[in-house]
Amino acid sequence: MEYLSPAILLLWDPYVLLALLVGTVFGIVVGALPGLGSVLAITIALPFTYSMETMPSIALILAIYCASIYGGSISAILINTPGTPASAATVLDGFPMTQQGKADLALGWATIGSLLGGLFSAVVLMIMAPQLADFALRFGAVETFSLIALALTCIAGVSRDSMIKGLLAGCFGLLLATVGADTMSGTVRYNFGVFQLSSGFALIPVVVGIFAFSEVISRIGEKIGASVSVDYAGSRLPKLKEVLQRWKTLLRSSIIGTAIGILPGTGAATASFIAYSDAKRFGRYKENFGKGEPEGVLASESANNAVTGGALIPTLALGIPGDPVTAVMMSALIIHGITPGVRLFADQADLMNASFIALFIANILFFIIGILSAKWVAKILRMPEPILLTIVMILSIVGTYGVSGNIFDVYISFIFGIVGYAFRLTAVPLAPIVIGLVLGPPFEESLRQGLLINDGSFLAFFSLVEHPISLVLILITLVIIAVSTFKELTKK
Amino acid sequence: MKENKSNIILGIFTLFICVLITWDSYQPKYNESGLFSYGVSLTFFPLVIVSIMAVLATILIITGVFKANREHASKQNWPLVLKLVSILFAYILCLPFLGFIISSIIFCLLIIPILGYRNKKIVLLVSILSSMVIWFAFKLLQISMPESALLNSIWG
Repeated sequence: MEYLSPAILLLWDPYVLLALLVGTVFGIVVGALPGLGSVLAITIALPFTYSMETMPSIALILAIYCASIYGGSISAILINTPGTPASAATVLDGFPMTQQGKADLALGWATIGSLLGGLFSAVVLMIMAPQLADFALRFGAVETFSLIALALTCIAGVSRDSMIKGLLAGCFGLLLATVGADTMSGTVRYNFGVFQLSSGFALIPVVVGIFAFSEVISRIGEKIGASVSVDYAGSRLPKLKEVLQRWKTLLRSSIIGTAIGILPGTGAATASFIAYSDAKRFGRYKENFGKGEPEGVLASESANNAVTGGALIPTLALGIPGDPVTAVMMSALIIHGITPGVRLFADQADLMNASFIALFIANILFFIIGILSAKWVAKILRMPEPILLTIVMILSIVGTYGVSGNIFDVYISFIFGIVGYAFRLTAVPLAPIVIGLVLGPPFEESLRQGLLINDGSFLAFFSLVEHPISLVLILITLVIIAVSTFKELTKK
Repeated sequence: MKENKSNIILGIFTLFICVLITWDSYQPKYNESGLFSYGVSLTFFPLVIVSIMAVLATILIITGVFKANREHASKQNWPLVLKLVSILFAYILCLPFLGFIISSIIFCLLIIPILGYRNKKIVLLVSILSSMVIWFAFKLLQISMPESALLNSIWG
C-alpha cells in the first residue's frame, strides 16, 4: 500500500476530480452522438490539456476514453445507430429490446457490462504493464527500432480494405515526422523555406485536421441527417441474479476485449464483434440472440470497454499506440513532456500508479453518471446535425489556436482536414498516419543510435548473439509482411 | 469515385511527394555534417521512406490500370463541400482581424442554414450563445483566443 500513497496524493486534487467528472460527461455525450466517436472526443479535448497540469490532463483523457466507448451504446440502443463503431454489435440485441419497450433495461445492461469489462481490463493493466516495462528495460536502441517496425507493420497490415494503402499511410506519417529540425544535428529538414515549419508539424493541428475536420467535411459531403426521434428512456439496472447467470459470457468477453486491446492495429469495434459472435455460439441464452437478449448487449459492451485497459498496456509500457485513440492519447502525454515507453515506469512510477487508479475511478464514474444521465443524453441526441457539426468545427479551431496562440497552426489543421478528406475518399486509413507521426521520431532516432553503437552495421539488428530480441521481432515483422502481401495478391 | 481512378490519383500524388522530397534531399545544407556523422546521413531515413512510398505508389497505379473496377466511395455533395471549405477558410482568415466572437457568430449564421437547418430564431440564438459560452469557458481555463487586431487598435 505504501507505494500507492504518492499516487493517491497525486489524485487527491480537486482539478483531477473535476477533470474526471468533466471528461466523463463530455465522453458520454460525444460517444452517444452518432458518427463522432472516441477519437474525435479526445481530439477536441487534446488542445485543452496543453494548459492543464499533467495529472488532470491524463485523468481527463482517460475519462473521455472510457466514457465515450460506453456512450456509444446509448444511441445504439435507443436509435439503432451506434454512437461509436465500438457499439456496432450492441444494436443487434439492444435495439430489439427498445422495440419491446425495455430500453431502460437495455441501457442498464450496457452500463453494467461496460463497468465490469472496464474494471477487468484496468486490473490487468495494473498487473501486466509494470511486468512488460520491466522486460522492456532490456531494450536498447536496436530492439526499440525492431519493435516499432513490428508495430507499424501490424497496424498497416490490419488496415481495412488494403494493406498497401495502410502502409502508404504509415509511411506518410513517418515522412511528416521528418519535417523540421533534426534532433541529432539541428539541421532543418524539408521545410521548403517556411519558417514556421522549422520545428516540424505540431501534433495537435495535424491530429485535429486529420480526424476532426476531415470527419466533418466527410459527413457533410455524404449526407446531413435530420434530427432523430428519440423516446425518453431512463436506465434500469438488471437484477444481480440475472447478471450472475451470464457470468461466463461476461468473463470471456472481458478477456477477449483486453486481449484485442493489447494487440496493435485492432480496436474496440473488432473486440465487440468477436465477443458477440463468441457469446452467440457459447452463451447460456444463445438461442435468443438477435431478438433482444441481454446477454448480447452484455457481451458487446463488456468487450469494448475491456479494450481500454488492454490498449494502454503497449501504449504506456512500450510507447507503441495500437490504435488511433491511443495514438492521440500518447500525443497528450508527449505534450506534457512524458514519453511513454520503457523508462516511464522506472522514472515516473507514481504518475503511472495514479493513472491506473484514475482509470478505475473513470470506469466507476461513467457507471454512476451513465445511470443518472441517460434521459438527458437521449434529449441531446435530438440536436440537429448542422448545429452539432458547426460547434465541432469551432471547438476544433479554437482548440488548435489555444495550443500555441499561432494562427498558422489553424491553417495547418485546415490543410490536413482537406488532406484527410481526400484520403477518406480514396479509402486510405487515417490512423496509420497519426501513428507514423507519433512513432517517427523514436523510430529514426533508434535506427541512427543503433547504427552509431554498432559502427554503422545493419547486420547487428539481426544478430542472434548480440541482439536476439531484435532478431525475433524482425523475423515476426517479415512473416507478417509476407502473409499480408500473399493475402493482398490473392484477393480478388 | 471509382476505385481504379482513385488509386491512380493517389499513386500520382504520392510519386509527386517522393520526387519533391528526393529533390530537396540533395540540397547542399544536408551535406554540412558538422563534427559528427551520427551513423547515417540526415536524409537516409527520409529517402528510405520515400523509396518504399514510391514502390507502393507504383503498385497502386498498376492495380488502378489493370484491376477490376468498383465503386468504393459514396457520391459526394461537391457544391456543399466547396461552400463549407470556402466559408471555413474565410472564417480562419477573419479570426485575427475580427476576433473570435464576431467571426464565430458570422460563421454560424452562414454555415448552419447552408448545412440544412433553417429555423432563423434558433440559428441566431445558437450563433450568439455558443460563441459567448465558448469564449467565457476558454477565458476561464486561461486558454488564448484569437483577438481582433482591428478592434484592439480602435479601442486601444
